Amino acid sequence: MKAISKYKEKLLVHKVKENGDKEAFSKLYDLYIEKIYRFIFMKVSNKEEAEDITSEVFLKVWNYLIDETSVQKKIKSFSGLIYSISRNLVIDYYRKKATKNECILEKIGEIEEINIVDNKLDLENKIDLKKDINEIMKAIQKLKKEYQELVLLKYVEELSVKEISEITGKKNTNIRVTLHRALKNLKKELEK
Amino acid sequence: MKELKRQIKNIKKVKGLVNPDNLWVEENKNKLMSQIAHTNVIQEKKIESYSESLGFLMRLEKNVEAFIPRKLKYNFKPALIVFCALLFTSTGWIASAYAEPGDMFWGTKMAINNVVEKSQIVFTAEDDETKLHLKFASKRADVIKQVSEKTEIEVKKEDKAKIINDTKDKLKENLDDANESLKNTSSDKASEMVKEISLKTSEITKSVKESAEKIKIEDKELAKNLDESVADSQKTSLEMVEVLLQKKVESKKEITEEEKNIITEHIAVIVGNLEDHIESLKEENIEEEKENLKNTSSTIMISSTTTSTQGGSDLVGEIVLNTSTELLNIVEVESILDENNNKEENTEDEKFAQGESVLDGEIKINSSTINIGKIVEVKIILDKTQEDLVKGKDEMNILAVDDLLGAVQKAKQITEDTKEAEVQINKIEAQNTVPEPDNNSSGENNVENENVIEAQNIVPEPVEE
Repeated sequence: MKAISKYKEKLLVHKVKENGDKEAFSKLYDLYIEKIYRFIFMKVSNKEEAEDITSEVFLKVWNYLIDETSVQKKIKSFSGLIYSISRNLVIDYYRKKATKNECILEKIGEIEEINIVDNKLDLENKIDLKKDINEIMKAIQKLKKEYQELVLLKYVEELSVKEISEITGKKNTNIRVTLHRALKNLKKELEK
Repeated sequence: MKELKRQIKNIKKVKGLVNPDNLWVEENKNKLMSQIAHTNVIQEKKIESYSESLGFLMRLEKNVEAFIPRKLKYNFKPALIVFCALLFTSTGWIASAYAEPGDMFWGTKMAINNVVEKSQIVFTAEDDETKLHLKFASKRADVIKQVSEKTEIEVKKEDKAKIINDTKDKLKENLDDANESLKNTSSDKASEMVKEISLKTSEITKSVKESAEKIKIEDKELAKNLDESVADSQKTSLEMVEVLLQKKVESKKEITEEEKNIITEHIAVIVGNLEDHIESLKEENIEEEKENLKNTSSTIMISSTTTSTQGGSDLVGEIVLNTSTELLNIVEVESILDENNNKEENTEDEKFAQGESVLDGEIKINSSTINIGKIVEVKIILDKTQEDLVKGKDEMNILAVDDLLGAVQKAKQITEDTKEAEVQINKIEAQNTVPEPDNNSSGENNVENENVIEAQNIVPEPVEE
């Protein structure tokens, strides 16, 4: 199924690249909006900022795809492209903040209103899940930025090591080692 | 660790928190779509021009390109092209291997066959070439038979004619090649092939003859072509048998009783075929004669009316001739126009130009009369040919007892004589064809029949002012 969706995604990208197909781009948006938002939100920890950056990411992706010079270029992986753009925009965001000496909200805070999507769960389980997520989120916040990113990409977005390697520009083995360390640290944080 | 991973995954399930607000997602989408709606996409035009100029294949290649890694595409492009070429060729070859006459791949099959046959000949020893050529000729005869058996639903009439005519030409080529290579075959080898060649050639002739008879009902012209092919095959087969016998004499080998019987039967069949052919031509001739006599109007009317505004004479001449076979010499048409009229004729062009006179004329020479002339002439030739054929056949039978080579040569001569007679008949038919008189033509082009021209000179077409 994953392979089929990958081919479907490639076809959509191709349609956007060759025809400037807005319909195809809209489908790509639906596929990636949540992932990108989560990715950015985990980095900026601010809803409004995350929304703005996410919007900008999609606009940048569109411009990149329809750009005549990029048409000649082969896009290895769309996910690699969109996450790279997101990363760069987040870096830009931090740069701007640093120059303005603004305080960056690092903490996500307590989950007050939890709305679990899974309808199969009963109330007791939902409360347990709420507790778990709260704890995990706090633990993740305490991790190094590098670890945070990898944990998010690997276990939340369920990307492969190869895809993460394309996004981060790191070697596969390096990613595996870092991920292992990140999980170890996360576990430690949770046990505290 | 697994539990931890599962717990991390649950983050996705939480609405709010790290996940975007659904309302925002929709609003942002609309906003984004409206933003990109104003973007000028140059590629759109590009793809349009692609689709116009290069069509479906180009678009297909572009779409497939999306799934081929760039490295692979450039490194393996030549290999891919070779692979595709092989794929197309082999598919075409496989499809054509089972093609039947009239099928889409029939032409391909024939083209492949030609190449295969030529290469086969190259790799065959000179002494065996004759057999190979005969094998190909036999294949052609089978094709002709196969096609002639097909109904019009299976193969269109024009396709059928085309395939048969093409195959017939190929058959002739094969037989000629076989004959040629037989001449180059060593005497020893050739003398061993007497039986085989005699049987094969007579089989081919028989097969083509049967096809011609089958096709006669639906396409007479095509049947005529096939008859010619039969005659050619017979002639070539006789030539081959003659060469074989000569080679046998050269190699000082005796003709076995079996070989003698095969050859005698072979030449007897050929002469028998010729007899049948002449007989059928005669029948056709008689039929045609009957048909013409039925349709022939019994009069040839020449009516001429001349009117002169200067008070000239009005003259109507009429010749009525009874039509019968004996009256075929009626080419002498008596002119009943008087001297006055003849004088007027000399100056008629001037008078027409001045509008002084109107000459009205009509000549009708029924073409059936000429057809009868043709039929009789053909009949005479056919009678003579038949007579010669019977005489020749008797001589051939006598020769066959002691001199087989002489008998074959006699059969060959009979074949040639018959063919010559047929050529003569065709010539007569072609010469006597009367073109339909064209009312608008000045008569300059109708050179075929002098009578018509003459008549037109006497009574020219009226000129309308």
